[in-house]
Amino acid sequence: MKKTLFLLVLFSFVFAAAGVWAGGQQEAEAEGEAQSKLIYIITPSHDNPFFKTEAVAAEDEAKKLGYQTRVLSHDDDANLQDQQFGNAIAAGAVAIICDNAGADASIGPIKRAKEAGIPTFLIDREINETGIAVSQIVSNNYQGAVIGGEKFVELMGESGKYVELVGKESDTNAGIRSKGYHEVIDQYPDLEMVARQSANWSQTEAYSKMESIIQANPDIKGVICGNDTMAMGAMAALNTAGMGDVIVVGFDGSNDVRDSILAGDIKATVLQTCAYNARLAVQQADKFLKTGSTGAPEKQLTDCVLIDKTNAAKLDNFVLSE
Amino acid sequence: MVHKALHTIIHIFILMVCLFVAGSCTVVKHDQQAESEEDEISIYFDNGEFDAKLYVESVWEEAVIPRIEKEAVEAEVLFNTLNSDPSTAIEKYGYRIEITAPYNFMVRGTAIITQANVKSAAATVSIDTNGPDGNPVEIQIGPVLKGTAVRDSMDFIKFEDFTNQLEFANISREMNNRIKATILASLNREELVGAKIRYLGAFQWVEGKGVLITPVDLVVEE
Repeated sequence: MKKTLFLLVLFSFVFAAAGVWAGGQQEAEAEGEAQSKLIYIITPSHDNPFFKTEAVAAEDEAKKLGYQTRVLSHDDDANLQDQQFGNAIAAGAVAIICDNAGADASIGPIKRAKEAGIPTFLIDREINETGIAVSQIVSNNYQGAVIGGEKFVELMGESGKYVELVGKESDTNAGIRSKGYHEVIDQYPDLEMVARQSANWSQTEAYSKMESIIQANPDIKGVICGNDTMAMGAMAALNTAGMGDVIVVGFDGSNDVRDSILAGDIKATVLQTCAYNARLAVQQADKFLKTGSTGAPEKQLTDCVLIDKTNAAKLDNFVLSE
Repeated sequence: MVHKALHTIIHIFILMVCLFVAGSCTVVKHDQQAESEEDEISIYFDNGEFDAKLYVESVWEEAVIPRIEKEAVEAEVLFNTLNSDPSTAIEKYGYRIEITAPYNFMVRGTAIITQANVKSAAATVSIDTNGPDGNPVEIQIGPVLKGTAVRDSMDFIKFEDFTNQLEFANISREMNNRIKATILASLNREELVGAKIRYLGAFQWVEGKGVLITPVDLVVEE
């Protein structure tokens, strides 16, 4: 009993301290807001250059248009995203640009922001509801996976054993890409999938998973990956095992994979125009704030582009020069 | 001071609520993971609520075919214009679903098949008509059909009207399935080269690239 009481008192102190701290934080943000209009930019972890590029592009565009920015990462944690939307509301942000942490989990916070008068503009991933975000500029991952799958099939000569590395299961796009790949590959009866595992978008995890897959299946001819970091991990494991001629295809269009393609290792990837989408979202936010309308439908799809050795040299920071 | 204390109490309350909410969310997430089987990768959005096949059946004869019949341009006119004056061709005949996508064109013509490219499952026939790039135009004959040209030529099928990109993608897949099951299933694949054909279809055009038509009608003339 005494112990419980002690814990209760201890917790109260911690909460009180946190409360005072949070209060101070809010006041500080409120002062900043008075000087200039604030846009919150919330994306997954910047460890992945894709999301970093997206956040940097959004920030740059917002600053160009005269906004202050606050850039945060929700690390694909819906609870953290929830808190960050709360912070944006408390700080009196004028808009939120977000690459969301879940098609269903994000509906609540976006709704709350809307009720607080703060419009949300989604980039990259879509959510399962319309009418709450002002824009959903969706990267057409399915179309991207289909063109990546078609290239993979072509490189494989339409036959042989292959492995699929899938992204983080809680991420919408992991499923969508996998489905797009199979939509194409499963139409070819001579392509045989011998292993399908999630490597959680991670390069190190892809490396270790690939190592053990190779031991059980030394005769694989190709590996199709849900993103570029996993493709990098798989390629490294294959090279270590002396299997550098195995066909590896990724997704995202990172500079790492570009360099790998130019070096003759990874064979292809799919570029999502993330920088373009991020800028477009900020432009639409600006227009919406000034005129009350973006002039575009809520849901907008942007196509992905296949990158292979013919155009890899033109790729830099997720932008393909003409 | 009283104000400050009140402030603190409110903060404690908010934090406790947050903690409670955060706690319950974690539990739900954990359950979802536990439910999914080891080898099964769960796919978001794919809950089977939207029947794309039924949707395609409902629009195919009533809207898709009539639109292509009405809007299709004679092959020679279209390819010549695309070659000599692409912007006019796009303005007059092109259609696209969104600003980053290539334009789609609807086309009709008669031609002689010069080559059957059937080594790949994504088989095509080449015809004696040259595209704007100067190379022979190809028509897809399956069994694998690539691209979304038929869906993307429809002005009444808009991404924003569907819940998500999977539903939107399934429409194209079912259109291609329908094409395979009907007009392509009856094609005599042994006697293609030299045959005179009449075709109606759509293609997505990227400047400098070859033309690959997805047919919605393909008839070998006697």
